[in-house]
Amino acid sequence: MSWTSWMPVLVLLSSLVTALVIFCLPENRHITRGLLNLVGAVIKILLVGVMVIGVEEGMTFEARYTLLPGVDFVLRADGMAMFFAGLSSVLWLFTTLYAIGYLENSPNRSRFFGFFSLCVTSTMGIALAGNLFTFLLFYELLTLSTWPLVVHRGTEKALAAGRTYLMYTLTGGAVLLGGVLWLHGLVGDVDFREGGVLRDMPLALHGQFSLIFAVLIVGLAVKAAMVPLHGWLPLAMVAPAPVSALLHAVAVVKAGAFGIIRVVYDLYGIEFAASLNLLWPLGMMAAITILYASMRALAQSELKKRLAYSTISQVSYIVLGISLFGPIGTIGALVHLLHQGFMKITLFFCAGNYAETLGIHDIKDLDGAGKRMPLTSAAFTLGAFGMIGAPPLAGFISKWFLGVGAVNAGMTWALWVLVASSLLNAAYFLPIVHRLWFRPRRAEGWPKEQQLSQRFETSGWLLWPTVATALTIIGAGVLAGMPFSPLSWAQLVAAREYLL
Amino acid sequence: MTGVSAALHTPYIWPHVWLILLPLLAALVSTGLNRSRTHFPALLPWGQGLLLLCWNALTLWLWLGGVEGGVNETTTRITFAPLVGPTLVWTLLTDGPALIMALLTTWIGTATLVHTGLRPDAASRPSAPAAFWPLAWLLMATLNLIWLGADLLTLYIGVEALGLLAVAMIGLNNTPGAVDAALRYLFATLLGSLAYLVGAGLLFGHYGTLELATLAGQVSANGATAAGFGLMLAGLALKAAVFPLHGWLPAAHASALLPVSVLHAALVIKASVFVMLRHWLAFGPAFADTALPLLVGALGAVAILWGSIMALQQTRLKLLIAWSTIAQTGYLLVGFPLLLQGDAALQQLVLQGILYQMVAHGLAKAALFMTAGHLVTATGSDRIDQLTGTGRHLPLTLLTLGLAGVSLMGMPPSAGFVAKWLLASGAIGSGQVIWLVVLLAGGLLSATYILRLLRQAFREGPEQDVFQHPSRVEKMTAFLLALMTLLLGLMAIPLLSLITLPGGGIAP
Repeated sequence: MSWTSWMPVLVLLSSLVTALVIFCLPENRHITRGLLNLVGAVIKILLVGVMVIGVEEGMTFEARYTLLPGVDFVLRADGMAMFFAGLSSVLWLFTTLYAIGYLENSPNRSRFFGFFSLCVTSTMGIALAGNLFTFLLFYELLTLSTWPLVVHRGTEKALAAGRTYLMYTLTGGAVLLGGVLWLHGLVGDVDFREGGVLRDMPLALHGQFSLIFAVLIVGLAVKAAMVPLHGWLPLAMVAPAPVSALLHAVAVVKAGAFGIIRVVYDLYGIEFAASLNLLWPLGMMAAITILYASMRALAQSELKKRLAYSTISQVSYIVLGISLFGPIGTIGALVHLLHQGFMKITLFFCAGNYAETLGIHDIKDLDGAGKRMPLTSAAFTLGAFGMIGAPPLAGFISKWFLGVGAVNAGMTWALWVLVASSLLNAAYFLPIVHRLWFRPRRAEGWPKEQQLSQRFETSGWLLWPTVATALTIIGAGVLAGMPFSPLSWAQLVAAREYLL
Repeated sequence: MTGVSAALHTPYIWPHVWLILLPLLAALVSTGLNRSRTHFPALLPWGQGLLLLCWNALTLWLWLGGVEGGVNETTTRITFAPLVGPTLVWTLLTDGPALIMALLTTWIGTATLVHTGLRPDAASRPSAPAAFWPLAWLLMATLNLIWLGADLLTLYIGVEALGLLAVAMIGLNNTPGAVDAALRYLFATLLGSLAYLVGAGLLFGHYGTLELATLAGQVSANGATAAGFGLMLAGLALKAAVFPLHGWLPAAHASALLPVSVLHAALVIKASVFVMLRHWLAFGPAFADTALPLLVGALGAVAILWGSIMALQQTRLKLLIAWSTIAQTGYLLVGFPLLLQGDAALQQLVLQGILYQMVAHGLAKAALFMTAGHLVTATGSDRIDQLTGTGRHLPLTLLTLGLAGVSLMGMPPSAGFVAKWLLASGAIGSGQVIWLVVLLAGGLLSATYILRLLRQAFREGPEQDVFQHPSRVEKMTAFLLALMTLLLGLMAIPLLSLITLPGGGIAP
C-alpha cells in the first residue's frame, strides 16, 4: 500500500483508536482522556487537510479490499468526501472541547467519549465510503454508536427517546439495506463516481432503477429527518447538549443528507436522475418538510425543541438544492451542508450554555439573558441571523445560490418556498433575539444559576468553542470567495459533478 | 475379522480423522487427570491446556491449508467387517462446510473450557463438576464426527450419541428443574433419533446404499424417498428445536449449567441443522417442485417471528436467550428453499450464507450466554429488570453483550450481517423477494429484544459498585468471542473461500 491508500485509513483510525483507548481508560483519568481526545481530533484535521490539498491537485486517495465474494470495502477521498470529512473533523474538535467542559463532574465519561469517538469514526467512514456497501456499513454503525449517547443520562425520558430513535433509524436502515441489496442484485458492486454510474446500464433496468431510488431515498430520509419520517429528532433532544449539537450539525441528519447527495450525484448521476423524473418528487418532499417543520418550530416553547424543528427544516434545504437540476443549485445544496453545520452547532452550544449556566430550557426564561451572557447571546444572534439568511453571513450565501439555482432550473415554486421559509425562520428566531437583548430580566431571577467561571460569563470550555463556531459563520460568509472556503470547494465539486 | 482398510496410502487424510480422534483421546486423558488430581494437582490445568493447544493447532493448520489451496475434498472409507453380520462402511467426507464447522467447534469448545476454568476444583466458585470435562471432550469428538459424516449410519450414530451426551450434560445440574428439563429433552432426542433411524432404513431398503453421495446420484421423488426423507427431516427438526417442535428447548437451556448452555445453543443445535443441510443438498433437488421447500422456509419464518415475540416477553435472562436461539435457527431454515433455486453460483452463495449464519450465531450466542452468566453472578439474579446499573459498573460485559447483540440483529459490521447479506442476495438473485422481507423484518425483531437488555443496563442504578465481578479470564473469553463476530464481519473471505458446493466451483 502506498501512502495515498493509507491516508483514508489513518483518518478513520485517528478516532477509532481514540475510542478504543478511551473505552479501556479508568473512569477517573479525566486529563489523559481529554488529551487523547484533543490529540485525536487535531491529527484528524491535519490528515484531512493534507487530503483536501491533494484532492484539489487531482490526487486520489483510495484503500480497498474484498470483504465478501463480489463486494469490496472501499474508502476513497474525492471532492464530495472531503466536503463532509472537512466539516466533521473541524466540528468534532469544537464539540470535543465543549463536551469536556459540559460533562465535567458527571458520571460515565469513559463510555460517553468512547462512543463519541466511535460516532465520529462512523461519520468519517460515511464521508469516505467509496461504494454503497461501505456507506451502508458506516451508516448503520452510526446508528449503533449514537444510541448510547442519546440514552446517556439513563433517565426514563432518555431511554424512551432512544427507543423511538432506534425504531426509526433501524427501520430506515433495513429499508436502505433492501434497496442496496436490490441494486446489487441488478448491477453488482459499483463504486461511486463523479457524474454517476447507472446511466451506462442497460435501458431495460431503468424502470427498476426508479423504484430502487425511491427505496434508497426513504431509507436515507429517516436520518435526514424528512417529514413524515422526522419523529425521532425532536425527542432525541433529551441527550446532553454536545450530543444534540453533533447529531444536528454533523453526524446523523447530515449522514442522511450526504447519503442522498451520494445517491443522486455519484450513483445515479444528476442528469440521469433528472431524465428518470426522480428529482421533482424529491424536491416536493423537501419543500413540504421545510414548510411543515418551520410551522412546527413556531409552536415550540422549549428552546432545544424549537432548534430541533429548525434543523428538520434546514436539512431539507440541502435536499431541495439537490433536486434543483443545474450547477448553481448543486452549489447551494453543498455549501448549505457546511453552513448549516456551523450555524446549528453554534445555536446548540448556546442552548447548552444557557441551560448549564442559568438553568434555562424554556424560551420565555431567556428574557434579558443578553446582559448576563453577552458573548453567548451574540453567538446565538449570529446563528439566528445566519439561519434567516441575512447578508453577509453564511446562510445568505446558501440561500442566494439555492434561489438562483431554483430560477435557473425553472422551478420557481422552490424560490417561493425559500422566501416563505425565510419569513418563518425570522418569525421563530427574531422573538428569541428580541427577548435576549431588549426584554428586562425576569423578576424571579434565573431558574438555576451556577457560577462556572470567575472571569467570564460561563466556563471557558463552553464559551470559546461557541465563539469560535460563531466566527466561522461570519467567515464563511465574508470570505466566501477565498480558496478552500466552503463556497469555492462546493464550486469545485459541482464542476466535477457536471463534468464541466 | 475386523480390519481398517481405507485410503491408507493417502497420508493427508489422517489430519482430518484426527479431528475425531484428538478430542476422543482428550476425553480419556481428562478422565485420567480427574482421577489423579488429588496426587498431581498441577497435571490437570497443564494437561487440559496442552490438549486445547494441539486441537487449535490442528484445525488452524487445516484452515490455512484450505484457504491457500482450496479445500481438498477427501472421502475416507473405514470398513468394519465383524465375524457375523453385514460389513459396515463408515464414510467420512472432509469438505469446506465440514471444515468450517470443525473450526467453529474448536473456537467455541476452547472458549467454553477456558471460561469454565481449567482447574475445576481450585476455583472459588466451581462452575461445573469434574465430570464436565470428559463429557465436553466427548461432545466435541461426536460433533466432529457429525461434520465429517457422509453416510446415514455415521450420521445416525453421531446424532444419537450427541443427543445422549447433551442430555447427560444438562443433567449435570442437580436442581429438580434441570432434571425435569433433561428428561423432556431425552424424550425429544430419542424420538428424533428414532424417526431418523426409520427414515434411514426406508432409504436403505429402497436404494441399497447408505452413502449420501451415492444416494444423491440415484434419488428420485417417489413415495419411499419422500417418507424416508420426511421422517429424517422431522426427526432432526425435533432435535434442532425447529418451530413447532421447539417446546423442550427453553427449559433445557435455562436450567442447564452455564457452559452446557453455551455448548448446546452454539453447537449441538447446529449439528442437527447441519445434518438436515447435508440431506437437503442430497435429496432436496428431487423435491424442488413440491411444497416442501416452501414449507421448510415458512417454518423458518414463523420461528423467527414467534421466537422473537416470545423472547421479548421473557422476564428471565437465560430464557430470553433461549427463545432467541429458536428465532435464529429460523434464519438457517429460510436459506433452505433458496438452496434449490437458481444456478450453481447462486446456490453456493446461499450455502455460504447458511454456514456463515451458523458461525455467526454460534459465536454470538456463546458470548451472549457467557455474558448472561456474568450478569447473573453480578446481580445475583436471573431477572432482566435486575440489570439496572450494570452499564456503569460492568462496562466490558455490556460491551460484549452489545457486540454479540449486533451480530444477532444482523447489523453491520458483524458476521451476522455478512450471513444476512449472503442469504438476502440469494433471495434476490432467485427472485424470491418474500424471503428478503423475512430476513429484514427478522433483523428488526431481534433488535427489539436485544435492545431491551441494553436499555435496562443503561438505566442508572446504585452509585456504588455493588456487583460481584466475574474473573478477568471469564470476561475476556466472552469478549474475544464477541470480537470474533466483529472481525468475521469485516473479513469474510478467509472462511467463505473454504465453501464449495458438492461438484461446484471454488468460491471466487
